[in-house]
Amino acid sequence: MKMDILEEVRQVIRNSVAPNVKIEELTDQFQLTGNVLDSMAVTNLILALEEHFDITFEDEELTGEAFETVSSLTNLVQNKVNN
Amino acid sequence: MLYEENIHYFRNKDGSLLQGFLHTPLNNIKNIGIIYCPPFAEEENCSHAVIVQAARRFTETGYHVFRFYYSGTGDSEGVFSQSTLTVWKDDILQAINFFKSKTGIDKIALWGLRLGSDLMLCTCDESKPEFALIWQPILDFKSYIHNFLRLYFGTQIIVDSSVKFSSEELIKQLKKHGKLEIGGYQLSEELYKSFKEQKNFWEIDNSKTTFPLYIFTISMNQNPPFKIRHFLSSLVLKTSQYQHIEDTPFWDRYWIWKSEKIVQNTISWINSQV
Repeated sequence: MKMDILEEVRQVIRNSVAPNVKIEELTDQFQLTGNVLDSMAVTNLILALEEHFDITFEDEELTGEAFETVSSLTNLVQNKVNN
Repeated sequence: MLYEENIHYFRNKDGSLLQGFLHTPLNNIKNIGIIYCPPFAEEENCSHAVIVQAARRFTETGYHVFRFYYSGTGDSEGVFSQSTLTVWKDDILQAINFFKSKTGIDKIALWGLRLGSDLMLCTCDESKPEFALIWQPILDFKSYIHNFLRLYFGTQIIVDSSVKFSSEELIKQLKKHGKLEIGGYQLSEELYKSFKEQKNFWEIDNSKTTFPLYIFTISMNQNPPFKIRHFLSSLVLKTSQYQHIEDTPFWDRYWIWKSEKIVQNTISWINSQV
């Protein structure tokens, strides 16, 4: 399950904010902040994840740590999907 | 070249000058002009290249196309934070009047993207279009303005690594100071309120609609959003058509400069109507 979500998160990242990054480069530890994310990209990524997984993030869930890497973002999504 | 392009200035209801661009066909001229109504904030910037290309393509098929900037946006006069959706709806009517007087063409069609498509539908009792091209309408204005506030979250996450102000706190700040800078735009309390009060797309009364509508949505998903399907089920007009394509949205990312499917499909639909 976690693996499926990781794959889907990687696809969403690539489609919404990182079109020039090859999918194989989006490894668990790929740094998102300071690399492919600016303020508008963060917002687009939040919306794309919510639409793709049919979830809604609460304000307090949106932390810098959650958006740091592909892995941390997958954990955020995983927790929402499980709830 | 099959068309000419010229900059024009016309006055809004308060006398401020608004900037517009008239695309004039040189061959095969049709007796209908298309008035383009732009989207909100960064969506206007992101979509600019696709819209200009689409306007040129429509002009090549014989239609005059008039694009303009709302009060307080682009190179139009006015202050963004002093504008409201009511002001921008009036701007659409003024743009139509200017177009008619400049070209002598009385019949118009409306074409809008996102916010523009919703606002133009609100003017139809007065503007009486021959047809309307609705590209990716805003379906839920409360969600839309909430997501606009989230641009502030994006800035906080990048700069401060955490969201220090929740949505509720941002709204309190907005009420306290009267405006708030979001993603480089001065959002005023009035503008925020006008979004909150705006009827949602599927709530706009279409029972008196007598002209054909072409509704087009794009998303990375194969299926269209539920809300648009819900709206279409209540749409009484048989001449309307809805199309969804799986493609990259061009209004919220800077790197999309072409969106051929939406342009080509729209031209095909227009040709089938006229």
